[in-house]
Amino acid sequence: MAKLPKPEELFDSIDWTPPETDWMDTPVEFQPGRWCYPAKKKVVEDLGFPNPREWSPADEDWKIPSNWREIVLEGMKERLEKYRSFKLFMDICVRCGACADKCHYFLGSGDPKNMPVLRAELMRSIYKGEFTLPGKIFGRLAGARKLTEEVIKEWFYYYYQCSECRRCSVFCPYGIDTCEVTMMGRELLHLLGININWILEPVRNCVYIGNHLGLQPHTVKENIEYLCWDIEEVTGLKIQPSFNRKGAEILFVAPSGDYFADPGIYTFMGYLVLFEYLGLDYTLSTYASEGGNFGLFTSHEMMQKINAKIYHEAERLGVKFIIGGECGHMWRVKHQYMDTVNGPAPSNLEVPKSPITGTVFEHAKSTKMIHICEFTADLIAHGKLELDPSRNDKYVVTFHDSCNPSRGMGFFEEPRFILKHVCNNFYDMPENTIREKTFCCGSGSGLNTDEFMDMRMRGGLPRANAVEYVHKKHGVNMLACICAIDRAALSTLMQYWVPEVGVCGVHELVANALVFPDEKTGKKKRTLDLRQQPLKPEDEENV
Amino acid sequence: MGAVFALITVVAFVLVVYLGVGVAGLHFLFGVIIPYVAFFTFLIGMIYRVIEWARSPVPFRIVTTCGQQKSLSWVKRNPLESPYNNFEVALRMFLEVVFFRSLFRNLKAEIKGRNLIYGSYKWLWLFAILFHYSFFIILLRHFRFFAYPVPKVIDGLNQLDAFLHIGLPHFYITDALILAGLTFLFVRRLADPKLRYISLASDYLPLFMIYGLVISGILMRHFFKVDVVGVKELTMSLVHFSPKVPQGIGTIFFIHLFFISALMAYFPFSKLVHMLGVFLSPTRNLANNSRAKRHINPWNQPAKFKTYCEWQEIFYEQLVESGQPIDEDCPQVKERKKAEGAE
Amino acid sequence: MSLRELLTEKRDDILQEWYKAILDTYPKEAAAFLRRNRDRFENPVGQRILEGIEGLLDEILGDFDEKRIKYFTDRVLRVRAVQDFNPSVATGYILALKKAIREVIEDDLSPELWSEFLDLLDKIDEIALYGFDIYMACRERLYHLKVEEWKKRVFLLLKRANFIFDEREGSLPQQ
Repeated sequence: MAKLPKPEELFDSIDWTPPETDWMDTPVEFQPGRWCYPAKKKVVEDLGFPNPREWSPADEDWKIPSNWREIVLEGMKERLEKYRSFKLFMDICVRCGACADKCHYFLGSGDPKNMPVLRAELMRSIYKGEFTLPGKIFGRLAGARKLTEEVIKEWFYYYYQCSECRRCSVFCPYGIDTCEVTMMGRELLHLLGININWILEPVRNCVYIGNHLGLQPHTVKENIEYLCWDIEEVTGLKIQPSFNRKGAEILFVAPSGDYFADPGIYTFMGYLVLFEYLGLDYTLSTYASEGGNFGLFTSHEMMQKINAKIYHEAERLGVKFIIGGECGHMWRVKHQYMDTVNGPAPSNLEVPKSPITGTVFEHAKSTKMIHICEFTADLIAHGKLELDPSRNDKYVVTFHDSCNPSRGMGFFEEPRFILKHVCNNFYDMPENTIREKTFCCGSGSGLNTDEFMDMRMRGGLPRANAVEYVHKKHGVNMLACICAIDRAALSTLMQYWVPEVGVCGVHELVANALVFPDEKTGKKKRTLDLRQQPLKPEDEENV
Repeated sequence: MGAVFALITVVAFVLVVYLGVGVAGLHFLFGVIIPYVAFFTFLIGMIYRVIEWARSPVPFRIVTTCGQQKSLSWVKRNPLESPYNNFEVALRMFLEVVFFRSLFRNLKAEIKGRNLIYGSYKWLWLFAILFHYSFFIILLRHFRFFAYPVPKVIDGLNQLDAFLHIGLPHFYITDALILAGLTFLFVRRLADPKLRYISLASDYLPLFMIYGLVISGILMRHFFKVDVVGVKELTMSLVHFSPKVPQGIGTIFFIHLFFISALMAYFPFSKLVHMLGVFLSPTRNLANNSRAKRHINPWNQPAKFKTYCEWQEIFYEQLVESGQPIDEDCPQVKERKKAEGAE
Repeated sequence: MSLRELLTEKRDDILQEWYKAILDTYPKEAAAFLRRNRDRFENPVGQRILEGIEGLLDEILGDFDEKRIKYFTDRVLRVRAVQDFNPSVATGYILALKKAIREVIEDDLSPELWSEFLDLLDKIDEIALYGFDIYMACRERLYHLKVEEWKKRVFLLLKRANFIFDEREGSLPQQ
């Protein structure tokens, strides 16, 4: 037998290691599954954004205006003057690398430009090269470069591969927040007419119709009524929520995904069941029918515009305060932006005070808006809810801290407190993957579109991986969350990585556990959960 | 590439001083003019930077919350990670600036199998602390050259720093520590491919300049001894703005002086401004109380949006048909009514 | 000494070679991170690869249980199926084991062991074929999920229009 060939000889022909070039010399390759489709011409026109046209990132020519350089540089200058965060973050990074391995997209993809420091450096290099003296003199040695069309393409690719989750900013010794840089990057790209449809179309719908999905007022009402029939089948309750009712005490605003999508609708049913239980004097609005705000992923002006409807409607209806549903980025807007951009709150609003327990929500005394989990946690703490956690016994639950409530509000205990009261089996995921260190679902900031599937699955791997751990260790089969994007995106993510685990909102479980007086006396019996599945596994007696 | 450039620059610095002082005898230039220029560049440059930052407003309260918010009275909140008022913000900033809280965040060493995880983060924090504190103490020590009589505190610090009593004059502990810190920060940049990828010449240059500064300082104290009395004469004359360069101080001192001058002059134009920038970082220096207290954005404009009445006009039919209330107070409805009445 | 004993003795070396070959398919900056960080939560990619190849190698040296082999192959391929790889590169990591083994045992590979060695190569080829199935299943699942996501997004519309016979049907098949 002849001597076998050397292994190197066999494998030398295949070189898998990516080329070793400086990042400034590595152009972006637009591969499918890693970028989102551009916004439709009509949508861009309707919103009055610059440069509406048909184009694709896969094209060589992006058809940007001929004076694009001036536009971008002028835009940067303006933003450097308007945002201290932007200017400071451009100046003070020391590239210590503490953030480098904190980004879920980097962890999942290994693409070095997904390291937060480098993502910001894509912008910083232009800032240095175009706005600072040392950058102009020393060029690359100072990390500076000139603005070229390649840079614009790179920005598009990487600023739409950032979910604005702010995990990196937790670890940065100077608090540099890549989300701010991404926001600026996206605003600048908008000036050239570079944007993605998955964000702009919902924005357009919200501006013109009232919500991201473009549901007209009668559809919103019909959908909710349909959900009420389902509730009736499960609980026997006839619920008739009011719409656009003047004089109600509370305006309730939810993300529109909850009117329509599975499993968001079960969360919505949960809200309705809870309000019915309490006999709450509330109303829903078909005008301010969107709590979410894809404007946040577009520009600050758009975020303000979309958000403005909520105070406007609260004023018109003469309510006393506002409760907001379970939604992540919506709550970043409500907590950190709403009062600033559209405040002060209309004079008819009062400091939120729970009509059931009398608790005054001092921490929301200016915005006059509270999170439904704050409201419910307060009810439970005062013993106002009769709960039977064993109704959720078929679930072993864990909780996903959504990025925005976690790192933008510090919202950790309220949902956990609720979960621990409405189900018997609750296990947190490992410490480094929850609370302020929580991993993004991989689809945040308007990237939950199907053409972006590969990136989403990669970016969601760190999250799914932690879920898998508690699934294997504790048999967790339900992932609760307080975010509409999560409910949609995590469902898909779980189906890929850990198909045994389902996804739900916190209030779905609340409603399952809620014991109505008739149920307590035994007059009525609940055998189904809100999904119209048996409460107990089939071999067990339904009690 | 960046590291090589930085190295060449630093070597060039040494050569320039050697030629300038040792050969050409330009003592006044290197002993007086350059230090003054550098010092004022530093002072004015830093003030300018802070003013520049401060001129841009903070439109939004974008705190990065790393702990439980203040909400219901019975929920245990975390005042240090999610401050609610300015006092708590001050505490948070104190931890951040003095103890590098955020760098420390990952410090949770765990043994899994044979491996210690999170090791690298701990090291980064530790050596960053060593480096910065050593630098700070060394800086303070040097005030004995700029004050007469030397304040007790500085003297005490000096003795404390040299308490090991090794060599004569005694070797300073901080000299060793800062070298250790510098070496770690430098080696890390070369050894970790991630960091090598992101590192620029402007990341290596300050490291090398400080190397040069420290090494020239050590050499001058222990090996090529300089005329300390002469040095103090020079520094005091600089302080009193009556500069006078005594003879025979030794070139190594001028190299040392040149390095600190170069560092000072470089400071305001480089990433080193993080020293002051950290205090202004809006994700850290604001209270997480934006729902309780309205944050004002100076350039905020009222929102332009579709009002309810405009919207109601568009969806009038659908609203009526689906039995949703029509707001009679809307001027459009009044007009509509009027038009209907006229028919 | 049989080949199996030889391989068992050199198991750790082979694993290291193999892991290195796989990491070489990632950008250098990422590869170093994947190798160094041993935390399963902070570094899921690296740890899944390690788990997958360790398990595979043990199966090759042990029972060669089909179910477990598929499980361990799945651990790695599910990740690589969504990363920047062509199908050949994504699944090629299995074949890289051949190279790793030869690099480690080349000097000890006496002619008596050749027939056993050829058997071993066949086993690896068999796993590579499983790998191809798994890779395809992952990719198909992604496309399936795209459709499924759209259905979920407009779930109520479909339900109201009676386009869904039973909301539990038409959902994804068990894996």
